[in-house]
Order: sequence, then C-alpha cells, then structure tokens
Amino acid sequence: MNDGNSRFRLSVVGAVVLALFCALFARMWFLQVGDAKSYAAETEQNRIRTIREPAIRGAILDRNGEVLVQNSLIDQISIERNLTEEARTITVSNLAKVLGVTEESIQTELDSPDYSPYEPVPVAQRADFEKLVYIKEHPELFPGVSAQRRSVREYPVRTAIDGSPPVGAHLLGYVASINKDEYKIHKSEGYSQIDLIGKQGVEQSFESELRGSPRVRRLEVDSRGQLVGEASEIPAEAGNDVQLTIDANVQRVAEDSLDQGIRSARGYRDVGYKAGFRNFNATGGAVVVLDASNGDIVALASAPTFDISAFTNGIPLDEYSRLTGPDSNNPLVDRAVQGQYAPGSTFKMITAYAALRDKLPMEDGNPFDDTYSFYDKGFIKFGATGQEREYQNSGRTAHGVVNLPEALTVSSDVYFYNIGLEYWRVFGRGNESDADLAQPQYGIQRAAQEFGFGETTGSGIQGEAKGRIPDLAFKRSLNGTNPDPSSRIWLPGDAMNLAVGQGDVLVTPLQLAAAYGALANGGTLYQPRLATRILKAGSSLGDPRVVRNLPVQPSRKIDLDPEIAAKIRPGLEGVTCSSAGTASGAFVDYLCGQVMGKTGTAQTTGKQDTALFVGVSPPQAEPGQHQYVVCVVVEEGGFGGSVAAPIARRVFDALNGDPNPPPVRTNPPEID
Amino acid sequence: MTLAPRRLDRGPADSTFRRLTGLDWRDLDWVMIGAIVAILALGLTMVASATRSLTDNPYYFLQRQSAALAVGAVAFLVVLRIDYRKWRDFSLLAYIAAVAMLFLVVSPLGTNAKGAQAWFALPGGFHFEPSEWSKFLIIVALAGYVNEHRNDIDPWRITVILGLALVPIGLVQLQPDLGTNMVFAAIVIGLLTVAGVKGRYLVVIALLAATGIYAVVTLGLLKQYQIDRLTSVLNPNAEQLGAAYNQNQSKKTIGAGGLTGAGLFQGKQTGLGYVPEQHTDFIFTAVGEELGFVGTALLLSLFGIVMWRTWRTARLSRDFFGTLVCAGIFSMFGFQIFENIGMTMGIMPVTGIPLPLVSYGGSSLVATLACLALVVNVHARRFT
Repeated sequence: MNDGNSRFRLSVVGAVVLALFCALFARMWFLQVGDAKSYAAETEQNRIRTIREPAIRGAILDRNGEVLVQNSLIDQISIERNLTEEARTITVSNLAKVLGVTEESIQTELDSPDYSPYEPVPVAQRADFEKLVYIKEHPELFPGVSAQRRSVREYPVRTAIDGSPPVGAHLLGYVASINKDEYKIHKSEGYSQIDLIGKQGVEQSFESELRGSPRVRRLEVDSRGQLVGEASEIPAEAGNDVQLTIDANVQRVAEDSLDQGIRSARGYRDVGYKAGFRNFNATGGAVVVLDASNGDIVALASAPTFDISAFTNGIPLDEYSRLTGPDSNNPLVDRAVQGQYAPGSTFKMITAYAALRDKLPMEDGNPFDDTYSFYDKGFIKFGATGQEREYQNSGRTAHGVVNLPEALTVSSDVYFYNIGLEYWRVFGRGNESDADLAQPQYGIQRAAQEFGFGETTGSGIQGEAKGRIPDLAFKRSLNGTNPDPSSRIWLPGDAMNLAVGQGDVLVTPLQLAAAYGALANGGTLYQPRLATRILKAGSSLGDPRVVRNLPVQPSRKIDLDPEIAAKIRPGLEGVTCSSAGTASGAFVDYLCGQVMGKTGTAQTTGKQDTALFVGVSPPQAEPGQHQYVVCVVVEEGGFGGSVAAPIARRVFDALNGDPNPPPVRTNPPEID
Repeated sequence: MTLAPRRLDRGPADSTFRRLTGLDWRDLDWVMIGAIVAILALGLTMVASATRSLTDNPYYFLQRQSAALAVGAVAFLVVLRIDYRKWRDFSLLAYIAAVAMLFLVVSPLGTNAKGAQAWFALPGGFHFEPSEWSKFLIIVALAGYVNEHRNDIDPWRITVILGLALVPIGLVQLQPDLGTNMVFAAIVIGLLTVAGVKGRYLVVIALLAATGIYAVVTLGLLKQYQIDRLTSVLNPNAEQLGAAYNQNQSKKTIGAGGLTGAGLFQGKQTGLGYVPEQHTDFIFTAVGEELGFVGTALLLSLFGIVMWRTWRTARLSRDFFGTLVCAGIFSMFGFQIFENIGMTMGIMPVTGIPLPLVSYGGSSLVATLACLALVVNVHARRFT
C-alpha cells in the first residue's frame, strides 16, 4: 500500500460500507425498538389459534324447584383429523356400516368447514351403547375414531308419561346453532360461528345467564398448522340456573287441558254456519295463568305445540319445513303472547268500567250506574231513517230488561251496544272528527289503555304483540284513500263495536289476563314476570345459592275506584255462579265466589268464532294464598262458555291443588 | 501519515506457533480473530436454535455445521500458512480453477437443488458449492491481474478485467444464482475503485452492472419465483402467501424480538418454523427474535470489527496486491452482510446470499474463513 490515490480510494470504499452499516443499524432500531409491539402482536396472531368450548348451560327450574330443562350427556362419535388416506377410507366405510348411514354422509361431515380444524370431527350424535362398545372393541376397524361425551338439553317434564313432547315448548324455547345475524350481534360477547344460542322463550331471554363463559384455549400451531402446544387456558364457568315463576304442574295441566278442549271443540257443529254442515276447526289456542297479586306467570301454554327435544341436535330441515309449512297452523308461534284476537265479550269489563268512571249521561238524563236498566229485545237499531242497521245479540236472543250485573252475566251485547252508542250520542256529534283521545267520546279507549291494551305488557318475552285499540287515528290511516269521507270520522257503529270487543279490537291472551288481574287486585297492572331468581349452577332447593333476585315489577297503578270495581264484580261472579251465567255449565260444581269471570265469543271475518274465557279466583284471604287469573283462547273454537270456560275450569282445579283433575268437559254450543 | 513497515523488537517468537504457521503469533491480528471466533460462536448457537425443531434429531444441523467449522478451521490455518504472495504468482491458475469449477457444476456432474444447478454431491451427504469458493479465487485472480497492470489501468485494461469477470458471472448465471453475481459485481467495483480507475469509468461500470441486472430480470433469464422475491421488497403486501410472505414473516419476526429478544431458544416464530430458510439465508431473523436489538447490534458490531480490521489491513499491506485482495474481500463481505441483513429487514430484495460465518452451510463457512485467513495472512506479513 503506497500511493495517496489508492489510500483515498480505499477510504471511499470504506465510507460506502460504513454508510451501509449505518443504514442497517437504523433499520434495526426502527424494527426492533420502534415498532416492536405491533410486530409482536402480529407474530402472535400467526401462531395462536383460539378454541372455545361452551360451558355447561344452566338449568331452568320451575317455581318449586322442579327441573324443566337440564343437560344430559350423550355419546358422540368423532374422527380424528390428520388420518392417512388409507386409514380414513377404512374408518369411513366401517363406520358407515355400523351406524347405518352412507359413506358420503360421513365424508360430507369430514369435509364440512363448520368444524374446528384442530379437533376431531363429530360424525354421529347419540350413539347406541352397543355400537359404541363394538367400535371400542375393534380399534383396527376404526382407526382414528373416538367417542366424546357431550351435553345436550333435556326436558324432564312432559304432558303425559311416555313419548309425549316436553311441556312449555314456546315458553322455554330451544337452543340451536347461531345464525349469521345473531353472530353479528353477539360476536363481541365471545361467540364463535359454531356456538349454540338460545332461540326462543327463556332460552333466548336469559341467554346471558344460562350460557356461562366458555373454556378458552389458546393453542400454538407451527407454520404447517400442526398443533404444538397450549399457550393458555381459561377454564369454563358453568351457566347459572334460572328459576321461573312457572308451576310445572299447572303448566302441564294447562297444556293438557288446552289440547283436550281443542280436540273436543272439533267434535262440535258450527251452529252459526248456515250454508251447510261443518264442525269447528279449533286451529289453536292459548292459556295464560297469572298470579294477580304480583304478575307472576304461572303457566303459559300455546297450541298447537311442537317437540323441542327434537331440536337438541339442530332442527332437521324436513322437520323445520313441516313446522313452518302452510298446513301446520304455525306451531312455532307462541299464541299466548304473539296471538292477537278480538276479545269479544271479555272486553265488556272495560266498557263497564269506562261508563261507570265517566258517569256517562244516559238517555234518561241520569249518569250511568250499575242499576241502569235497558230493554234487551235481542237487537238494537241505529241509523238514519230508512238506512237503519241492526246490531244484535248472538242468535238474536232477547234477554229482556237487564241492569249491569245481569248484562255481564248473560252477556247482553245489546246493553253494551247501547253504552257505545251513548258515548257517541252524548259526546260525539259536536266534534266527531277530533282524534284526541282526551275527548270525552273516547272513554272506552282511555279505559282500555289504562288496563294495558294496545301496548306490550313488558314481560320481555320475545315477539310479544301489542294488540290494537281502534281510534280515529287508526280509522284515518286505514281509510286514508277511501273516497267516502265518512270512513275517516268516528261513527256510532265504531263505538258500538268497540263496546263489545269486536271490530278492530285486538288483544293478546297475556294482555287480557293482566287486565283482569289489575281489576281483581284493586288496580295494579303488573309487568308479567317469568323468572324469580338466578341461581348458581347446581343449586338445589335446600341450598339455593342466589346470584340475583328478579324483583316484582308493578308497571302502573290504575286509579281504580273500589266502588266501581265492586259494581262490576257481581256481574262477573254471576257468569260462573248464576244459572243464567254463560260459564255456569263449566263451573257447575264450584261454589259461588270461587271463580268469577267472563266469557267471550268473538266474530272474526273469514273465520269461525274465537272462544274466550277469563276467570279470576278470589283475593287472598290470608297471606300465602294466591289470586290467579286464567285466560283461555281457542281459535275457531266456537263459544267461550262451552269450550274456553271448561278448559279454564280444569286449570283452576289444578290451581286449587288437584294434581290430576278430571278431563275437560266441554258443552255443546249454546248462546253467548 | 504513513505507516512504515517495520518490525518492533519484541523478543523471541514462540516456536510451536511458528512451526505450524510460519508466522510469529504476535504478528497476527488478534482483534480480528477474536471477532471472527465470537461471530462463529454466536452463529453456531443460532443455527442450533433455528434448527431445533426442523428434524427429529435436534442436533442434526448443529453437528453438520460443527463438522464444517472444523474443516473451516483447517482451511483457515492452511491459507494462513501459505504466504499470500504465492497467490499473486498463481493468479492465472486460480482464475482457471474457478472457471473450471463453475463450468463443471453446470455440466451434468453438478447437482440440482432448489431450482439451481449449484452443487457437487459429496460422500456422506455433504455438498460442495463452487460458487462460494469461486469468490475467493476470483478475488485473488483479479487482484493479481490488476496488480500486474497497476500503472496502465486504461479503458482497454478495464475491458479485459470486466471480460475476465464476465466469464464466471455468465457461468453462475447458468445455475442461476443472481445473488452470487451481485457479490461478483461488488468485488469488481471495489477492486476497480481501489485500483484507481477514474470516477467516470466507475459510473459507467456501475450503470452497466445495473443494466445487466435489469436485463437478467426482464429477459426471462430468471425463474419467476426469483423475480417475485426480488420485487417483493417493492410491494411487501402484494400476496401474503407468495413471495412477499417470506420477507413479511422475516420482518415481523425480527421486529417481535424487541429490545432484548425472547431469549435464546425461546423464539416462537423461530421454534415453530414460520420463517422459511431461517437457518440459512434468513438466520438473522433468529438472532433478531431471540436476542432482540441487543443481539443484532452486537452481531453487526462484530461484523463491523471484522470489516474495520480488513480495511485497516488493506492500508497496512506491504504491497499493492495485499491491498487489492483485502479490498476485494472487504467489498464482498460488506455487500453480503448488507444484502443479507437488509433483505431480512425488508430494505433489500430477496436473493439467495448467506450471512457470512453465521448461516448454516459448509461451503459458505469454509470459503469465508479462507478469505478472512487471507486478510489475516496479509496482516501478519505486513513486515516481511
């Protein structure tokens, strides 16, 4: 090394390399010190796979601690992943033979993207014990086959001893695979796409309690996706038990009675049908049993029902299409809360309350009172001369001169048409196009609103319907394009129909029960309650470990004058007690005052009459006694007194302590 | 300032060492040797870590690399023993040997692996990779030629030098191995710079090299995967599982190490094999993940020491040939380190260049040690 030029040149080369080294240092600093955290997170994402295994779901108990829903273990057969092609072929073909399915169906399961790629693939649920033993004894025929215990929902309480479906299908709901929409909503709560979720009823409403928290395992996988170890594990926490207000036995009797009543109604001739001969269709119905003193739902039955236990492994597609098909009468619909019916005469309680409270001025110049008498000649005519329309009793039966109690007992439509007409006659003429419900002519609507009609009860049961109390606003929106301007004003006919629970009035069975409960308990309209408390998993009745009590929720205090209530009550008592009472046949061996109530037979356009009955037991005489409301609705079932009241009566039998009351005895159709 | 070649009177030399190497041990560059040993130790550890889960026998790669290291140590001593000036006299022979090796490896005698015809299979499952050795030989050969014509480096000589370089480059391109050719280009440019070639010629040569690389990439002389790898640095997110995957994983892995790393043998990405070629070309990722910035900075500093001592030896050399050899090795070493570490951190395109002294691979290790022995050789004989 000598001349200066070379030394300079060497320095240049050295400087270039030095600059490159500095660049490397800088880059290293930014990667490892500047952005290290985000890179660390990215690499963790690379190699960690999170697996969730659902916790044991909580049980559902009735008010006495009887188990309505619990879990049972089933044996599930699975095939390992990572089998050689050869072993897989042997397993699939032998398993197909033993299980009696096709090889293709097993192959479909194996190829399904629904299962975790890190766990064995389940190919058969509820394997028979003998098959399981055979498989375990011949491991050479079934390489990679294993059996796991899995828990599924089980329903110990059934309507009859054997083979009948579990009680409370609608009420309890079922559990099934989460669908796309539910996944979107619940993703943040740690659900995965293969999780199960409560779909209806209590299973849905109390999902967050029943579910518990899943076991979360974070598995480490290498670059080829092979499992190499477990990074962390959060153990599962079993779901809480939910104790319901339901009484399992009353529920069972209610469902059973509803079924008996519907069957027997189908044997009766529809006497109102003049064009030929036909029986009642009795397509379905509902029973609601409410504790009037606190709003607890004691039973909630809907017919037709379905077998929730068939849903434990996912609903088979053909079963689902059968349940939702046109001939099914929609068994999945919970008619007790989703069904909307014209209340018919059961609504007269509201009309009576309205007229008494409003001191409705009658034609004779005196305010309306229970002593107000009206001559019921079987019909009432109203309208401009020559264009009169006739509003008649069922069968045009004349009841003679009746006062309020008699009118309720014999269910005189004419008496209540007259009240509706009075509302219009006294208040309506001056401002019949004023839609403000505070206007005096809308007294019946106001009363209905006070008793909770036209809005959901707040029970929290999914899909609860609001019902409808027609008013001028409703008429206007209904007839918005009608060329006849008189269709957009409140007419006497509207008031008359409303007074007897006909026309456009719609209520749900639960609303009806809650309203009668409020009348019975002195004016407290409770939000019906389905559960009393949340218990730690595995709590027994002797040792209830309470997580949370669910308090009684009075939704509203109605300003119910006890004097007014006292004026309505005798009429309702007569319904079951008086020989002229529309439900006297059903309660023939009951003492007077043991049950009061009201029948209803509602006309429905295009359908047979809806049979209704609402019964109320007497108020608590001593602490610990309960006052119950039983509301029965039978669609296309005919007369309230002959079909609905006998069903209610059998439920009252059960409420009075008879665990197996005599069968429902319906009566042939008569006049309501 | 000039450093006149002079020997200090330091008393009698150790006779055993002299018998073995023909050198006084006090003349050796112990700083450089120390740095080399430190890098080798770190390298062997990282090979052990990066390969611990690749095979059933976790020591398989470690054993083979240790064997290569033993061979490398012998090669180091042999190269050290022979006076480097002998190479000057045999530079033509060295050139012919390099060309012959590179010719034979692309002939049917060579073995094809991973898409390149670059190896001779040896008994015992070992491989011999001539392109690694050709770097040593070409440096010696070109240094010899330049040294001979040091006073008449005109355009004609430059053309001859480039022509001499293009023969092995052409043969390597037949393998194909773009990485090695880029190293050749770095060597040639480094040598010509130190040789005193005028700046404007250097610019022209650099442009020619760039054009050449561009032509190779665009004229279909490379396989598609090589082009993908080269261009992945330009759009790293193009395709997660394609060519960019490797570089992305590599970058993430180094970044995940943070300041102090996950700890030796604790690297998750490394242990689970997320970075392909993590024991060969991408071994720097293992260093980055397991030892963090502390480890990568240490390794880079050790390389820096080796580079500094090489550069210093180039200055101290008794003759111009020694300076040229050191400059060639300096260029080669510097480029390889920058390209290899740069590609693992996503600032250089991906080409198959091992990290000297660290990457798993016997030929690279032995040939690199031989090159460094030559530098130590020049240093030790700076007085004689």
